[in-house]
Amino acid sequence: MSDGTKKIQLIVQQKPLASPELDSLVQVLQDEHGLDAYTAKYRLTGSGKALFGTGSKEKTDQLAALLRNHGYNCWEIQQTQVLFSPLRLRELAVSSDSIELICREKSFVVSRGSTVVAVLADVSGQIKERCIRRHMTQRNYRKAMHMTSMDQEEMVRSVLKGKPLVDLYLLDPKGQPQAAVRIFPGRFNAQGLGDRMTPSALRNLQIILRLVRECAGRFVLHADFGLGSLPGCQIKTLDGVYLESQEILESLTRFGWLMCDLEQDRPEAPPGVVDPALAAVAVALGQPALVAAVASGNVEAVPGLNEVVRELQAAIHDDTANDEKGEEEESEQWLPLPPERPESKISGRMLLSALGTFFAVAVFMLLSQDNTPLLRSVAKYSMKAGLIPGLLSLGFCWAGFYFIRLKRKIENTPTSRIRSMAMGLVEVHGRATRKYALVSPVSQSPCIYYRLRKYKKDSNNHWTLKSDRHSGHVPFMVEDNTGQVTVDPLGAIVRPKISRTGFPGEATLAFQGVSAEDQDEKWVEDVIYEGAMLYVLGFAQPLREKRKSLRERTVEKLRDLKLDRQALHRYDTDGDGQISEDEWQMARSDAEQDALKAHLSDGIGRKRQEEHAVIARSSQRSMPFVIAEAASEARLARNYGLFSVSLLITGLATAGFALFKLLEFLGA
Amino acid sequence: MTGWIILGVLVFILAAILIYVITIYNGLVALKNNIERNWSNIDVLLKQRYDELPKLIKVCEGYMQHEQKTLEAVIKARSMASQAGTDKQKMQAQNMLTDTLKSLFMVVEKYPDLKADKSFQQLGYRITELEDQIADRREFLNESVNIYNIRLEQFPDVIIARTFNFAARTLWQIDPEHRQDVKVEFTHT
Repeated sequence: MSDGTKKIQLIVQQKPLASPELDSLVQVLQDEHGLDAYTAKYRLTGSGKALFGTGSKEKTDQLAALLRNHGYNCWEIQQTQVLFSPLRLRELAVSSDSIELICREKSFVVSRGSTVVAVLADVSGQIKERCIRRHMTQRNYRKAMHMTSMDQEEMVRSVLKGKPLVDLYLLDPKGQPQAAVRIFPGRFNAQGLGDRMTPSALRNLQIILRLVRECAGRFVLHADFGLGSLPGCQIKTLDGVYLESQEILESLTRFGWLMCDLEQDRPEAPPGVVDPALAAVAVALGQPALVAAVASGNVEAVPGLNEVVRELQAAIHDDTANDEKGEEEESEQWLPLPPERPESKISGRMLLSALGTFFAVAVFMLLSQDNTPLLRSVAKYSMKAGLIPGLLSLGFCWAGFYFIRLKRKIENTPTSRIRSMAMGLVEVHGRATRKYALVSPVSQSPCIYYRLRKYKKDSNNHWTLKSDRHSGHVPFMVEDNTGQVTVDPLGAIVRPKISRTGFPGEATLAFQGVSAEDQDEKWVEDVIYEGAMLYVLGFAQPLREKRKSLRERTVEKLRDLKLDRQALHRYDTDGDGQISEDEWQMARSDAEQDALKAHLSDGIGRKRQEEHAVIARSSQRSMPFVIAEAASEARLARNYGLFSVSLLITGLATAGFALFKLLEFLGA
Repeated sequence: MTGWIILGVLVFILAAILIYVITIYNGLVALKNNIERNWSNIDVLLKQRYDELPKLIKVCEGYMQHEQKTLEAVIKARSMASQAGTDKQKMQAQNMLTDTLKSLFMVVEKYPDLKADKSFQQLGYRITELEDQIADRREFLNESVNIYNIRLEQFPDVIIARTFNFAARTLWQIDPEHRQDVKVEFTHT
């Protein structure tokens, strides 16, 4: 296949998700093979096939072994030059043991046992967009570890939704393409399909594929054209512009030839290695010919046996696939939609603050009118006498001391491990994971918290806040290396690290090029993305117990026993028709045992922290509740410290000013 | 006028210092009480373990007819734990209980039927889980004590601590014999 002097290409089947395993593989590739980590990661992540590298056989062998060990499919090939392009199918003739594909000048026959490589391609290029959309949807509504790539069936369905066509390559026994046919749906005479012909061009295309699959000895279908990163097989330029139709067809031809090259590096089953499930079924059927043929791996030698074996394999693999699908369905975790925002309850405190605000606004409005000389003079003298600066100073000082207390609280609270977290004020550190499918409204990324503020310019060219919404009512999880716990952020001081500003009509994240001066509206989005490291200082409290306690179970058992005369009779050991104290003790002991068994089998003893505790705001308002995306607790405390010092200095300066005004007013 | 301003600023600074002193004092009181709370939180888990033990013994009794000594040791350690008065006695009793439980789980290896019993597995899991949680909370207690002790020696907290006689607390300590290297002996056959 390939000698040592020529360069070998290593082609790899990509995987959709960047995972910790991928990170470790990339680390090995970087450390031991000197590959660039970013490039390696880029080539291994995706939905199609990519050229991983080119080099000597020895080098590619090492890389291929490493990739295969990490679960990647890969092929080592010497790329064949394209010798001819596929000819367009005009009509076809289907017989019981062959399919004749008729082109303008030539015709080709797919006979029984031949090898066919088929490429089902969407030349509109939309499959890539669909694939990206699918991954984005999965990313937004599923947990990251459950993201999957399209399987062959989904890919075929997706291609058929676009502008599909099929290239069929007939390979000779050496694996070299000997003929190639291109089938455009609806642009050939489908009468050769006979009774199978349908009015749908797409359906006819699928029927041809099915017939070729049934007829050929080996049939391989590739539907990932345009998804991977293979040289000369792209559908877009490097600038992201789609190629012309003719250029896409040329890319498709190169892709088809490359897929034929992959067939040459197909792993062959070593002699004597038999599919154990197939052998077991063959033995169970009691057919000696089948058993012998399966054992020797030479099913072609016995006429008609090929079909039997194929059916058996299909049945076995169907079962396996069904089992796997069932398991996969179980493991699939679609996140539920975020809960509705709860209706805000009006507390006495809120009522007081609302009244205060109303009063302040009313005073301000009265003062701003010309016909209120009394209030104006009150304001004037308050300012002159230093009353207003004095009040401001008090406010600054109060805030300064509040943040000093918060800083000390953060420093004084030791970090708990989630599995052993006690109820009460706790501090936990961990990675944020979503409990609901929360997506940030502008950047459209999975997040655990967002706050979106919209501003509009007023007549004085100042930004005025028009709306402010946040996801403070959506609980999320925090996970450390011992467990995970739910956090209900309602009422918390949330400190996201990422804040973005943009203007209406902008594409997500691409906002740098727009000038703020030309815009009348803008948005500011603060986000904590999923996976961020969080610091949480809050009040851990138990969730309402839904299961019965051991005592409740025991009482219930005893109550049932009292009602069941027959069961009660079993404990009447002396047969006097009465249950004595000793007999009742025995019954009670049995009921306790049964309740204990039921209690244990319910797995109550195995409850995890997330199932019975939540970190939320305490009913005691003086208790702090902070959720911060912070690199370290020390940095967070330092930030609060600096903030409080600046507030106190401002408070001191304002107090000095207030005093100066007061003395000036008093004429001292 | 300048004199008045300076006086006013000094009063302001003094008031700020006074509030800061109060904050420090309250912080130290909170830290001291947190240590007590963390002790009690360990007690909560110890009580849970204590309550689980009769169930474990009951399950084991049926299988371990020939291990009455081990079971009795667990029962004795449990009753000692319930009778312990001072912190030191409690710590010793709990350490003893942990040891006897370890011996019990080691002996269980000889009883495959007991090991396979679902109730025993679940109780074993629960007790192991509690042991892990107790260990975590001991570390947590030590961290609280450590923060408190550091605060007592830090400036300016040290002034408040000495003025109001805040005393340093001791960390949770294990039995000295547990610090010794494990002796491993291989029998040559």
